[in-house]
Amino acid sequence: MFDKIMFATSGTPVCDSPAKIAFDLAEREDAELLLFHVLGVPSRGFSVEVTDVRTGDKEALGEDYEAWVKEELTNTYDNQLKLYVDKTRIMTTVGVPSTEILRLARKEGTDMIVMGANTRPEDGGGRHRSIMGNTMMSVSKRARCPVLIVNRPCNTCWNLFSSIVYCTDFSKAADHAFTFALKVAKDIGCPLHIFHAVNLQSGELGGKPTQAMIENEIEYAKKRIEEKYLSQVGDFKMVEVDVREGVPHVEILKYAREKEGDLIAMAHHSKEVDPEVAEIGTTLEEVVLRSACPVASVNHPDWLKD
Amino acid sequence: MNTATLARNGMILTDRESEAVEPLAHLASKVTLENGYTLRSFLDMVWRYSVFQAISVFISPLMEECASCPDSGCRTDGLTHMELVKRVEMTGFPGEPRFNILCTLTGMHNGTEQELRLFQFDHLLDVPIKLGMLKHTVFGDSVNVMEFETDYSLFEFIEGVAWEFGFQRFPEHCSIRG
Repeated sequence: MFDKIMFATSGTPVCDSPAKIAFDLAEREDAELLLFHVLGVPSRGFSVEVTDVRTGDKEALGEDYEAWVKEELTNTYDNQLKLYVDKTRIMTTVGVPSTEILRLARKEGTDMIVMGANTRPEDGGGRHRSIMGNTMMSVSKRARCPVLIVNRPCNTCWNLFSSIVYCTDFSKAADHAFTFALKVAKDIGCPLHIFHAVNLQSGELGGKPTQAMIENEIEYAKKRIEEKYLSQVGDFKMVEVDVREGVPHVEILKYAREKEGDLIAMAHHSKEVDPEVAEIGTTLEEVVLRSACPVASVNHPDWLKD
Repeated sequence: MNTATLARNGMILTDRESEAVEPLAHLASKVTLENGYTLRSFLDMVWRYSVFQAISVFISPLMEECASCPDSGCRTDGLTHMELVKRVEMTGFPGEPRFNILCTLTGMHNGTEQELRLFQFDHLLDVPIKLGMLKHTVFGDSVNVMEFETDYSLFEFIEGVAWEFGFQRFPEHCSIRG
């Protein structure tokens, strides 16, 4: 399913959990793994100094510095590299991290990008929107392939995924996310839970909705799921549908816990807008921040291969 | 500043040691916790004064989770208590300079912080909660954190505790399979 996976890392402990998943996934898929680190932001045009993205300090850029960073990365991921060194390429470059990640992903035609969400406990555990890494947000927004965001240590990893939760708001982007979720579920052979939360806080139902309005909305959503998604599953029988009412991100998290979800797949944003200009959706951001399992953000259909 | 004492049984007591009649009027009051105040006391409070449930979307799921837990003995040897901490942070890189003030609940064991998400909910309900110091971190220097005495309002207390429990804790099945 995946031939080339990029693991974009800052080399900090935040990326330890994504590393475990990235290596496990690459091993399972027998895929090539690009271990990619962006050295820093050039201080000026043609500057010989870079601003280290990790520390903010100015560093003199040169072959020695690059070799030192590669050695650091090799030491950091020593355990994983011992098992998967043959199919891993360690790559570094200089620039703005998100731009360089997207550039390399496009150039190499990666099937998936694995990243952390940058929510260190000392930063308040993600209390502020700005804590959600800017790099992650930019990459997630513009990447042509699915972006797997890993925010928590996960012991199960790809090999042991036994339950995938797909969340939809019926947008076009959500359709692409469904294609991804179904493909992964079929590939792994695990149950796929299709979930929709009727948003009671948005006012879309017209002020404070009555019980009858909520029930109608739930029925309507079930019908749409049947038409839109169940019609695509074919012979795959391990599909379950649930629709609930409440605050979407709370319901998604509750549902994922209830179903012992190992992976949540959803679209990057919720509105019918051009993916190139859409901001990351609040629901996805909240889910990424709080979920115990990895979240796959899918934005484009381009990665699909027959 | 008015003081609201939070009792172990979930009641809010005013300066006159009588129960608060208008709970919302005490949101700005300085909080003190009765000895032995626990997460269960917190949930008893939001159950008793249901108007507080609207402060955070995570309170209702928390109450549902609590309902399926044993009535007592929900503790763990891994934590001596939980502590509400007010953090003041100046950040400057990457991005624009910024000043953040936030309240977080953290687990404590023999003076060291423990991540609460590593514990199951039914191991936390009867662990005591304490009010901690204000911690001031300057430009990400988490080694030289300055600490100050401070007060917490009832709103900060409710919102801070509810925020922390909005994070999903490690599922049991995850740790078993690992």
